[in-house]
Amino acid sequence: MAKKILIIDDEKDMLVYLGTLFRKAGYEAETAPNGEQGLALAKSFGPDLITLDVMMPKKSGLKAYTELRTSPDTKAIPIIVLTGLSKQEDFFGDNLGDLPRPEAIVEKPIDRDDFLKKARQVMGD
Amino acid sequence: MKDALQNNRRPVATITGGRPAGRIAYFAGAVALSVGLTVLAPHIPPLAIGLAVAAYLSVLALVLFRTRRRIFTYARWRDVMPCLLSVQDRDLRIIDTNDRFRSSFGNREGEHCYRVYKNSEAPCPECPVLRTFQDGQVHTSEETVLDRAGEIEHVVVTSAPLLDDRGQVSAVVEMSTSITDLKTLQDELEQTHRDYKRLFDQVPCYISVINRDLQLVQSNALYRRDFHANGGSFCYEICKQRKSPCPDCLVRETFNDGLLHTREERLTTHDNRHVDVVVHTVPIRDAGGETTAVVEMFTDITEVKRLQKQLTLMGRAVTGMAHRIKNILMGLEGGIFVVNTGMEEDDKAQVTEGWEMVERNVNRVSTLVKDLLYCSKERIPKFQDGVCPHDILRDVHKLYSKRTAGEAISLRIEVNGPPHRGRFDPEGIHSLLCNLVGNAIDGCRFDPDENKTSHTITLRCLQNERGGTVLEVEDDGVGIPEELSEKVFEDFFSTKGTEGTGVGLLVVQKVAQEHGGNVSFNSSPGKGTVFRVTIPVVAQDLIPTH
Repeated sequence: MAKKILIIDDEKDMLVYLGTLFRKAGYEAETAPNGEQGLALAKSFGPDLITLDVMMPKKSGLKAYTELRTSPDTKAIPIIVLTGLSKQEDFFGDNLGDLPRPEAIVEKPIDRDDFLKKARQVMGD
Repeated sequence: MKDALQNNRRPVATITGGRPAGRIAYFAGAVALSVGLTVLAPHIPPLAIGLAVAAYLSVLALVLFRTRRRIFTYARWRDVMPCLLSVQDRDLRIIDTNDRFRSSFGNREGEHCYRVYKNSEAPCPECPVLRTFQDGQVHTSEETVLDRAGEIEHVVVTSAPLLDDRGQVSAVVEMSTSITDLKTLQDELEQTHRDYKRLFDQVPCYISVINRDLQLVQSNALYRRDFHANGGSFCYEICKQRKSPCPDCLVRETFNDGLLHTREERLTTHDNRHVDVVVHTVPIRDAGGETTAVVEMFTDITEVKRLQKQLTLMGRAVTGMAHRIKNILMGLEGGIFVVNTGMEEDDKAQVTEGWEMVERNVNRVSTLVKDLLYCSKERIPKFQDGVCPHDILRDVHKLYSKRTAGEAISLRIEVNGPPHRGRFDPEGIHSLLCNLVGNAIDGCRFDPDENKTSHTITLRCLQNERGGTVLEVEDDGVGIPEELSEKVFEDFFSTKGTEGTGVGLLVVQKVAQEHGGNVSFNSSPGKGTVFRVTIPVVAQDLIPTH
């Protein structure tokens, strides 16, 4: 059975791109355009990996990350954080507190092959 | 009097010498006294007569000796006096002079003083000698005389009366002390002072002199022009518009240690302009070496600062631009990937979806390039007459309503009065509005306020009372944080948001300026922002035709 990946991003292009990329690589992919829907889908869809854009409207990426990491249903799911900023510290700062750091941080724009490799690595494929 | 003075120049050699008549009279008096006493008073013993004659001779000798000494003293002092001395009669004729006078002017006795001194035919208008003749007082004045060699000499003249037995002014002594060297030095000093004053006033920097109480003592022209300062005002009031001294006052530091200090500062002029300066404080010391005042010299580096800032911004802009282009390229790459995948899998829907991505990103790159061209000087605005801004507003409204379809963002139009026409660059105004609306959409999309279920963006075109055009774009989105509001037009390059190109506000500013207008904004964080572009009607007439 194919592993499931949830893509949370506010940019439609990214959702389509990453969705196609993962599906073509043999994964089942779901997409959410904001943190709110992302959190709901993470619970109902039960993904093996979440890719999360940390700069999003409505629920900010940081807020979505915090909720995913604290909700008992989702806290075990590995997360790859996508960021437009070159350093993760620029975004997270000291705001993460005791929360575990993301499994991987990938800077946009992504390199398709590297990104797929990193996703596989995080899922243990 | 003249004879007396002339004779006095040749002092009597001895009491009995000099003139033989005097000598004969002197001794004849003694003989007459002894004969007279012997004949008229035969009862007086010869010894007593002898004593009387001896007493007569002694008293007379003493009187004559004292007179001679006075005359001798006058003559000696007259010639050693370190001034030009002449004695003049009522006609201003010179009747006596001293050695120094004669060496400067020659022997000019009998000539009129004005002829001698000024080579003039008439008395000087303010003649001190005449005044002394009139009031019997001592008078002093400054005059210019011509010496024998024709050189101008500056003198201080003092005139004093010589009184006769009846107390009347019979002659006037005129003493002239040369002040030519002093005058030359004084002129040089004044010239130097004028040169320094000119330098002080004309140097292209602010200079002020501050006393220990931080009060302005002196300032140069540029300083007075830009700070409208009065002596006695406090420097912190003048330059910083503060009510109390600056905490890190350089003037005080220089007063304390007597050393030169330098720092960069920002001053505020009388018309509230900010001037970035490098300030140097230098002590002014008295003879004892104590600092009595401090000179502040300010070099205006506003332009340097502006260029420095522009360079920083440009660097940041280039970084941001590279990032944005990378993102667009990723979108294109993604689109192509999706199209290819769709074609491989013979999935028409996927091909369409991928192609839309390609189109979207091509649009993004084309808008970006257009905006960049607006910011550069390459693009010349194309002004046209009879352009109705309402039409442009409607075009932009239509375009962005389509882009936000399906989102909880509604766009509406507000105008006051009927459509008006004017001279505009329609393409420029279109870009200006697109950028403002694009930013407004991003501001709504990124509003973290979950209580807001929908957003409204209002596009306004108003005509103000002076006939100018006011374009407004108002949103009820996230607003601009206070700490960023000062940097809105500087920190233009945001890396987030899909509608704005990141150089948007630069475009807005440039287009507004091309139309002779300006841009302002009001923003309440969490409540929304309104950008206002005002294009005056007067300025439009001045817009050049390209």
